[in-house]
Amino acid sequence: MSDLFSLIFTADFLGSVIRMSTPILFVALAALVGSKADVLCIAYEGIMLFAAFGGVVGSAYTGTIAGGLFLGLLLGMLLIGIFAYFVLYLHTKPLLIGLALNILGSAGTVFGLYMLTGSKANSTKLGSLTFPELHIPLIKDIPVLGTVLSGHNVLTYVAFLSIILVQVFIYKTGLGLRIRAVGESPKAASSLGIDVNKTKFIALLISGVLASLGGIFLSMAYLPYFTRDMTAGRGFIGIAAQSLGAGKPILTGIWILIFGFADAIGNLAQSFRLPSQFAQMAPYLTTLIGLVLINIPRDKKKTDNPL
Amino acid sequence: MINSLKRKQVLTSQEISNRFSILRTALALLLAMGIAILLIFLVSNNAFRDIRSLLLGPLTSSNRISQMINKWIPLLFTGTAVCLFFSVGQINLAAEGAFFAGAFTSTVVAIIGGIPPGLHFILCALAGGLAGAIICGLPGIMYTKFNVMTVVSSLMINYVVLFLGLYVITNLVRDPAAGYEASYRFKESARLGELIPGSNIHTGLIIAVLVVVLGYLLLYKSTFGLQIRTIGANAAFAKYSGMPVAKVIVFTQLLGGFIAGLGGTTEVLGLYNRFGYSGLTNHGWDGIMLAVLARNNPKYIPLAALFLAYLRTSADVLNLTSNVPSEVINIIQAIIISFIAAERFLAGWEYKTIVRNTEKSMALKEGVTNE
Amino acid sequence: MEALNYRDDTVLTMKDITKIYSNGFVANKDITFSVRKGEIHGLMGENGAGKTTLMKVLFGLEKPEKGQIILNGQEVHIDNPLHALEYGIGMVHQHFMLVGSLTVAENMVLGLEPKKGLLFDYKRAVKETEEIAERFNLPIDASAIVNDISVGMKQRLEILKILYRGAKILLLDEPTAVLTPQETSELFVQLKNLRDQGYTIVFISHKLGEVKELCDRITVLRKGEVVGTADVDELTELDISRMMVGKDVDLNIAKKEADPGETILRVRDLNYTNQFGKKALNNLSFDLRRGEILGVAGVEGNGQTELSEILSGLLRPDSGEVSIKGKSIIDMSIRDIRLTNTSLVHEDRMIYGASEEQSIIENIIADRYFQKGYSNNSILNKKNNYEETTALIEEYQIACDGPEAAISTLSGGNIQKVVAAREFSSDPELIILSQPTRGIDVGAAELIREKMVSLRDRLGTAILLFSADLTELLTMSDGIIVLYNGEIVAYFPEVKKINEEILGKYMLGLEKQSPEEIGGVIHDK
Repeated sequence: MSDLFSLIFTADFLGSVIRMSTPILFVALAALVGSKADVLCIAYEGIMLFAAFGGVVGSAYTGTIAGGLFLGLLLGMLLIGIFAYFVLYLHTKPLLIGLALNILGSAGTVFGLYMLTGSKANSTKLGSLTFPELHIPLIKDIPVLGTVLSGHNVLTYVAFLSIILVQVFIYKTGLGLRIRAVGESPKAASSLGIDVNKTKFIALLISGVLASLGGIFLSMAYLPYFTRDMTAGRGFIGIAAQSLGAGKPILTGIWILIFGFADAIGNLAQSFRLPSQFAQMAPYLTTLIGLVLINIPRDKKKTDNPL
Repeated sequence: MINSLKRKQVLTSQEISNRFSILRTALALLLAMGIAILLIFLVSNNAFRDIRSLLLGPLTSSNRISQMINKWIPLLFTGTAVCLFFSVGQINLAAEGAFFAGAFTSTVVAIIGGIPPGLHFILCALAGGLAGAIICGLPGIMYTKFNVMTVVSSLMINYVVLFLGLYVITNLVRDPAAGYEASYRFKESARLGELIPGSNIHTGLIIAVLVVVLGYLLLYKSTFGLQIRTIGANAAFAKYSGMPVAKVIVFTQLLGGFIAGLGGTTEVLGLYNRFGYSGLTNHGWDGIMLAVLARNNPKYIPLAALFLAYLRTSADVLNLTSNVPSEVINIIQAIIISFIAAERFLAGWEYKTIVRNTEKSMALKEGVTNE
Repeated sequence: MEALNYRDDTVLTMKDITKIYSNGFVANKDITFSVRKGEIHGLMGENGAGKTTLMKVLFGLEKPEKGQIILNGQEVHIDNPLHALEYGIGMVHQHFMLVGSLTVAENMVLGLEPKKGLLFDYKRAVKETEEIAERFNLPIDASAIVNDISVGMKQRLEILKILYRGAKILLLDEPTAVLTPQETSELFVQLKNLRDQGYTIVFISHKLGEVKELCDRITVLRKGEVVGTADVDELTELDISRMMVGKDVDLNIAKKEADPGETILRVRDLNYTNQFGKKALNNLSFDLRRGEILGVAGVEGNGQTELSEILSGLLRPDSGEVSIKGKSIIDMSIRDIRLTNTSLVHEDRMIYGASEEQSIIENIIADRYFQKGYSNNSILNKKNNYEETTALIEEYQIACDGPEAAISTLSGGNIQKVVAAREFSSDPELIILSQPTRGIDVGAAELIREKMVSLRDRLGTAILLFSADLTELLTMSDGIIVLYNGEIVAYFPEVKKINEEILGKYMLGLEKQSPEEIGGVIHDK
């Protein structure tokens, strides 16, 4: 057991927690912005796949990281734009259009991958680029802490910075105020001339930027290429994490670190002969247990409690 | 007399809405096909052959037809299961996990020797069904007892089941002699036979059809089904009318889970001689699409499932005969779900028709009173 | 009358407005309506007469099929609330349009947030809120969370919100419905004050007294059409009510003296604290006897909803006893309560009373599907259910396309008839009946009232009647209890001897009977 502890509290281990948390953090913040506007989007899997694919293709064909970022964001935004249009203007149930877009995200990227590379598995042939790692001056020289905090991918820093950006955006800007208003009471907002659908649309686009960055991280940082269905359910974990974080950016961030921790411990535990499947199960099981533990007791009174 | 006369001349608003919902479905199918054909033209080196494969491929040989029917069978299970979930108003996405759980749980039973044929399958089916019931019942219990959103919990449960199943297969019942990650061989006593000798269609078809029929009768002809649908439509009303809301919600999901799990059992014992899945099978997600197409009524599941099985068989044909990736079929599927689910697609037209119609009936009523 | 509509000081005219809803319901039919600058114009009509729809058209929330809006002599097109606000038209809705978790100042500036760089300048929002409140003399706490402020302050916030946006024409949709009498009279002073500053106000109401007191002119709507417009001084209250309902308001119900029997419903020392920690019911005790209609009067929010929900098993009380025919119902499920031969009608029809997407049949059998005849061995008896529903449709004169029509295709009055048909047709011994005729047409209301009397006389049904309509309470009830602040403050065993005025005093808490008088409602000593 003491072996386990000594392994956990190594700098490498903590660094890997941060790295593994990055894509989920992006999606969770995306889901958070969406939930403030009261839209449950489950299409993040598809959106991330589109963005991851776009990032690879864009960087490979332009030879620049910026080209990858641009195409990744563009494709991700296209997908969430479709989602928003169907939900807000064609009154489609978010679950169903989300489901459809996840299918489209998976099939569309494989289709595209096959067209461009002849492979349905991965994009190694394309020779795409990756985002650089950032070694923070001064911090990188501190022992232990330097290894934990420095040397991560640029996008990892962007992800953690986004916690604060989203917090400020939601609670300290006019648009954030409007998003909260349309999410909580669309009638009140529209009676003041706020275009509810437009506001929700904008919120979803912002959510799409965050989710797309998560996707781009997967194919341009976490791995240096695109593989089919590489999101592997991270879009769903992000939704669960924001649900656990009760709509608070910082709390959501903390939950994500707990997932990352569970994930990383699971991986470590394999070296203690715990079957790898239990390790892979860890984040999902943590979520389920978390959901039960933080359950908000149902108001015994009134209409929103039909039970 | 006047009433029946009037009805002939003027449709009710509800009738107009129903007609528009059929129109929406038809247009969605056309649109999806159109886009698929366009994609094929873009990438194919023999577009006309491939479009023919897409449209007629499954009908080109008896082998393909039985292939299609075997693809149809699991969809009947998961489609019916999701109809139950959605009818009671629960967005339970765990049919996916339940199907998988049914498959690996019955595997464990199916490799045990010395059980008489018939009984052996029944035991496998019970094990698979119960596993599915637990998987889908859990989100129901978490919702009713702990107020946990069913969507989120059922999504997470799918992954837990996946890894649990992979653990069972790779650590407990793995056959080292198989040459790949797969279980020991099922005992013949557990397997489902061929329905028509030489056709490759397995007897699971009978079970599947029974499940759909019973599912329909349960939902639309029984008192339990009335409770399910009333709770799904308006839970507060159901409660006030005296229905045991929480119990029905949990029991419906247990039942749907049982059906999905049974589907998993039937699939592995009908088609394979070992369990060899390495990931989730997507049958649960397909069930969701089918329930949407069928508007939560099992009566329409066979037709919707046949359509999907047809598309999937086309995909296989394309895979074998052309350079067009079979993912084109999933793209079609996505487009169809999107447009059928888009309630306001054509809404402007529908609304205008209803207004015109109401004006007409107002004029008619005034005419009647003037007389 | 027509000539009056086109004077120089006419600021706004709505001409030939027709609005048909997507379920085919005609809410407004060729309505022409004008308002003069600087007047308070009462827009009157029964519930469902089309007042709110007309105002929603004017505010850009509903798009009419036909008609024009002429503002200051020029035709304008108002497609959304933003347009309306740009034209200086603001609306205060019947239900508060506030975001509960935000502060007063945030609600005030929503959509017009003052900025400091990229960020929202909250301090300035608070300052501007305080300034405008002071300017119009409508006191308000700018930094309080809206969920925590009083109803009166919410109402003031609503009015300030539209003034802040520069509205010159104020549309107020039943603003007094939720106010206490004191708050109402304060509001009237403030509205008159606004009028004197040149603001134009359209005041929607169905309360005669308020309109007489406040308005300069009125327009009356009935069933989506204009009945007429006139100066208030020209009309008596009786004139107005005739215009509203199309006949004398005396409810035309033939009803014998009650002949009460033994106690059916027994309530003792009932206490209930709501989720906000407010004591909603305070030591309530009363009896309801066989063959008796006991009315419950009270201004909304004085415990009626809680009482009716406890009696129907939706809520559990803190303490106290409730028994039906001698059996305690405190731990019973709703099903068990209904099985004591009790029928339940909730005030919220579309949530608890009916299931919109389902058919009339399924709504009718929702409380009895498990009984012999409606189903056999858990299989629904389709033929029986179809026939019984058809018979009930006939008996209750429900206008529909047949028993399989969805509830959503029916009008409000017909939906309530379906509810009544279900709850009254099980030969109940007790009915907990809330707002049976709220918001429905006169014909439907009359039918439901006749059925109530017939149940009482034919079967000796005991009815506990909750109603906000005092005329209905006074006509239908054999005895009346008045709730104020969760307590019974009066019991009137002989309804003939009282009138609305007397009831009003007790409802507003101005008077309270002695414990002995109130104790008169306990027959089962």
